[in-house]
Amino acid sequence: MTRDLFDPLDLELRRMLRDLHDGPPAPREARARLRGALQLGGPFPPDGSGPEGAPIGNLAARSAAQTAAGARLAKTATHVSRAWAVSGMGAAALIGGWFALGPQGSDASDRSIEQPPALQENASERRTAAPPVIGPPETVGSSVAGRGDAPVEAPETSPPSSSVPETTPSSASSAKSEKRGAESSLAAERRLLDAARAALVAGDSETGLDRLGRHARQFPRGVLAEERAALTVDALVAAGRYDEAKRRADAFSTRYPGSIFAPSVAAALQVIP
Amino acid sequence: MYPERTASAGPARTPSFREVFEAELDFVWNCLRRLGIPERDLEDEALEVFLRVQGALGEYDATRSIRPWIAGFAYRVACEYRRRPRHRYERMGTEIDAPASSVSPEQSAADGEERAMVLAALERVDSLRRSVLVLHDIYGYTIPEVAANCDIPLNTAYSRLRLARAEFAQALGRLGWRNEP
Repeated sequence: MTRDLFDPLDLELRRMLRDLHDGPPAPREARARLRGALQLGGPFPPDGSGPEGAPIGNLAARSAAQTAAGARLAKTATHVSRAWAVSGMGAAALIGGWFALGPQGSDASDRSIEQPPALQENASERRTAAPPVIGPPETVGSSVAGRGDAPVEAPETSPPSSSVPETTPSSASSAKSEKRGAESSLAAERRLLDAARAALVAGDSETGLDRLGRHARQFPRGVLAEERAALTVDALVAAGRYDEAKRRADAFSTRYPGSIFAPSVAAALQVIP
Repeated sequence: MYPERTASAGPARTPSFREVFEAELDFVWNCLRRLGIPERDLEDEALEVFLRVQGALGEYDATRSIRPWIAGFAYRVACEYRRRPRHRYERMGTEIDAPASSVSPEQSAADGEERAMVLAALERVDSLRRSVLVLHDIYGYTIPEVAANCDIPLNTAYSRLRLARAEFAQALGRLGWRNEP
């Protein structure tokens, strides 16, 4: 063991630390809620012979798990302000978006939630850090479908897809999550957009676009659709898809005249060479 | 629990996510607690850990112990938790574990006092350094394991351990602990 070669702790100190190895187990209620959030169903049989859990690598299962997880995580809503600090837009923007938009948009998404890493860089750093990958001309839809997902947003003129429910029916185990209602949806939207922004901050425009696509599928009429549209322009620029970014920016201006996100969209376009 | 631990022959298989969850929730729970996540947020952060584990389980090398691998996720989640502005200047969790029911009240009181002191000293250690201390000196993982699973350079891990131990010992001293023979 290498630790003995390196500033070994006093034996008594080591014992004291080792005594912390075990602690109280996770409360039963928490375990049950986590099972529900992870779509694992009931308790595992004591003999270990019970049904297999969610198949690994099964995208549908993962998505379902994340769906419930998103609702579960929504109670904390810890990220509402983080992304705004990154983009330089104040909390007033969120409030403004909330009241000004209401249900609108024709975009599509899913509720997969991923915890974004901390956001510590500003928007300009994000843009300069983005890899200048210039892909072949693609349609708006195919741009995000590159990872097997639906388009970030449906064409502006198309109606919302009726085949994609705005809220995915959850199993009984996640019924509690569903009770959270509209506030949870907003928090879930916020988390997803935060996750997208975090990916963009990290220079991972592909993941950012993927998460924006998820948001679009999950919240086609989300209250944060306007912000998503603005972020999408950012993401496309970061991905080097300048033509698409310009088209999206034009559509954004038409659809959201006077938007508080307009400066952000304009700033995104300014970095296009 | 896991197939690779019970099977006497044959290649180890990756456990199902459900198996991992059922077997490791308590470990994750306490690991996060030791890494400084307050009780009120343990559930959310544990969920985050398992979401990541679920997503990455296909990459897990079943021939190796799973706990150091999972501890890496817990470490990253704890780090990200600490970086959130609202938690950055917050003191880490100080909740004292409930004593085991099998010990006498006197011993329980003594143990509880010592445990409280150790936890208090632990929380005074820088969070990044403490993570290495927790994974190494509490959970017993080797520094190379810690470095590999937490994606930190080996020398950095050693350095953090050294500094964390010094901070921990100093903090204990300030709290009045004396190592009497």
